[in-house]
Amino acid sequence: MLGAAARAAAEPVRQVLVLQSVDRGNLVIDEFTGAFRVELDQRAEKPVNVIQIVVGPTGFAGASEQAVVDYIRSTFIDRRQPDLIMTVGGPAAVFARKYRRQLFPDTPFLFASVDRRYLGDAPLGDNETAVVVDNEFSRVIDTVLQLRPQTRQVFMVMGSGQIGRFWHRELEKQFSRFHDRLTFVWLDDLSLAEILRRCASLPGDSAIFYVSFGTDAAGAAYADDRVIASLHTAASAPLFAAHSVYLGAGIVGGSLMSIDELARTAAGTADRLLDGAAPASLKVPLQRPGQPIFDWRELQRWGIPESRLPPGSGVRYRPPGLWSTHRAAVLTAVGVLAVQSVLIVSLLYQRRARQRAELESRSNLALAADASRRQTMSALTNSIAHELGQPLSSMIHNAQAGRMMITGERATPETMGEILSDIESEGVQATQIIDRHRAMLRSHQLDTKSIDLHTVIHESLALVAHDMRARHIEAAVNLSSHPCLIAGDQVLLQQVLVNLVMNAMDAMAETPPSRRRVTISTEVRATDVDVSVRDAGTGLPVEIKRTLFTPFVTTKAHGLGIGLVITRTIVDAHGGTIEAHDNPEGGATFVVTLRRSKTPQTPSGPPGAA
Amino acid sequence: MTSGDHGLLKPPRVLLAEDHPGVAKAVCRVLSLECDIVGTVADGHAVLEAARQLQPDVIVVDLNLPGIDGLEVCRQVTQLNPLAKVVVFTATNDPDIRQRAFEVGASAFVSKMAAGGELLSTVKRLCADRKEVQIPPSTRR
Repeated sequence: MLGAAARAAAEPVRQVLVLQSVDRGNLVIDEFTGAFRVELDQRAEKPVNVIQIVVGPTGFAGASEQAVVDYIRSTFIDRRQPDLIMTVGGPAAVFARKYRRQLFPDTPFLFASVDRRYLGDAPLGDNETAVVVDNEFSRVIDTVLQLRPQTRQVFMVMGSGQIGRFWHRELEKQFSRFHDRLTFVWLDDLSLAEILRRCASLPGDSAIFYVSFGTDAAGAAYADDRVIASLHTAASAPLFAAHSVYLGAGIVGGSLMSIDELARTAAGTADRLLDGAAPASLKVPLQRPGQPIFDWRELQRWGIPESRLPPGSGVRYRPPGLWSTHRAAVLTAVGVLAVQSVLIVSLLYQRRARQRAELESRSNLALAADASRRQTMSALTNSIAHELGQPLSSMIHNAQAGRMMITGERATPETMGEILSDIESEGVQATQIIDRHRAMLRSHQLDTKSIDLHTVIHESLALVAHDMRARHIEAAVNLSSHPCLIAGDQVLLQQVLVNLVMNAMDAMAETPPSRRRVTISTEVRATDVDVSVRDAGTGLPVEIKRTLFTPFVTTKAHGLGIGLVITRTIVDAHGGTIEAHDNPEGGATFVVTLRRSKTPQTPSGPPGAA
Repeated sequence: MTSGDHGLLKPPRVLLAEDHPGVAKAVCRVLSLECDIVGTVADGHAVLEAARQLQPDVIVVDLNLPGIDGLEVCRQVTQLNPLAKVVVFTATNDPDIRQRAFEVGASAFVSKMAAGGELLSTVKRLCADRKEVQIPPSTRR
């Protein structure tokens, strides 16, 4: 132990050897590796050096496996041995298990993102742990049958390489239970051009299942994103897949394995192994696909009614509502309504007939918005007093201490200097609290800029932090490691987040304190980002689900129920969508989907590119 | 050494339970002018543990501690350590909470915004009372 500590002090850069299943181009593995790298860098307190070697057939074409093992060993011949070895995907795991005794047997081993079928029944060694996934491909077929009961044929699109052959074998076994209803047509013996031609003229009772690609039967290699884009353009039948990275690229959707989530879990495990945790002690649960999500555009394209979606499904890419398509007209109307509202309010005030007027004005959206703003303001005013209390109390007591030291002739220039500098920084802190609230309380015009959605989330949580603590609610923040720039209005989006979080908090009034938790997560995809706010409350009452975003629908004992309408309006104005569903384990989740900025960004570059 | 000597000659031994680091630091500055700060803790569970281990004369408790509700901390700490005086130190002026704090055993209630050294004078006043109490030697070092 002492030796290890001394070595760590002398060589703080820890070495992680990543053994890849395939070269770049596999969308699932590329996304996983990119997100893993960013996530690990964020978690690890000391620098980590990642050395990546492709051990699958695309890495060393024609070389014997033993030559690959020798190459890996020679890489470390005159440098520090790896502190952790991680495999990504199935083929690399199979390779590493076969040559485990030659590959630094004392180094902890993590088999990441590996389907359980690749690991088989052989138990893991003492120095090994795994983040195992169950891709549940047959659930994709269940989804096909649920959405399109007329389906009789499923065309399986996959490459002809090692991965394609493996899955062809496995899936034929797994899909045997569908054989009385479906015929599976395997296209892995065709070139990409032939596959595209075939998929362009499929009969109406067909579906296409995209597994992954690599190389086609002609031996040509293609990246997944290119194959799926061509397939989406050409295909005459709906496209399905099992991984979240394909949503938005042309698949209809279903219960998808979240690659972001998988990378987070793997990075967390790797970080603990690097910190010295015993691999055998880390039992990571089997990773399964999440809640079903669908692409609205594909549902429309193939005429699939939303009533056929499984309960609790999310729908993304719904086109923006009236507010954003006719923004000028709507803003003019809102402007007129706003002026009208001000007049009405002042008249009502003069006549002291507020109660009657409020009833009359409930049909007036502008007034309702006004009511919502005042309601939020009063809630924030309450928390600002509590929040400001902390720096003010510090300032009062620091000043008291200083005064007493002077009176008792115990003041030294050093202690007085420290006290004054603390008072100064507490003053700055108080000013920041006021600024944060003032930005929210001020009347506001829509002001679209490039903003970081993660900053919006942190600022919103700071606004409600006091209320949360007072109500014994824990906030769990689970943000994507990818940067999250969007074109939007920071203040209005904070309003959205604050509304959703306060709504979640209200829903948990009856939840036992130990279970009161609001989870805010982001999932970043190629063109858009989901922000979800999940609670452990009472869930969405049946009679409310259909009318959730209609004014005056509320389950709260107080309040106008207008918050969610304002929220929807703001999201619409950003060209986004919002939907809500019940969680299987109780409570509800609201998901806001927003478009990402087209601004070029480099989220630390794809690993292994150098 | 007798317990009486201890109370008269030594400054009051204070345990501070406050989760805001800035407030805790400032309050320590004030109290340490005339008290012995035996510990500062930042959550409800830690108050109970520290009260048991450190046997302070006075415990200054913020009502909004994470972990255990402040009033519950107050109730348990007075049962655990009946000789210690509990000062509730909080931003709220709610008379109901004030009433409940006294019901669960608090000896004083001081506002976080109180000026003029009120916290220090309250701690000293409570310890002046304490000198009249016989402290069993077994509970004190």
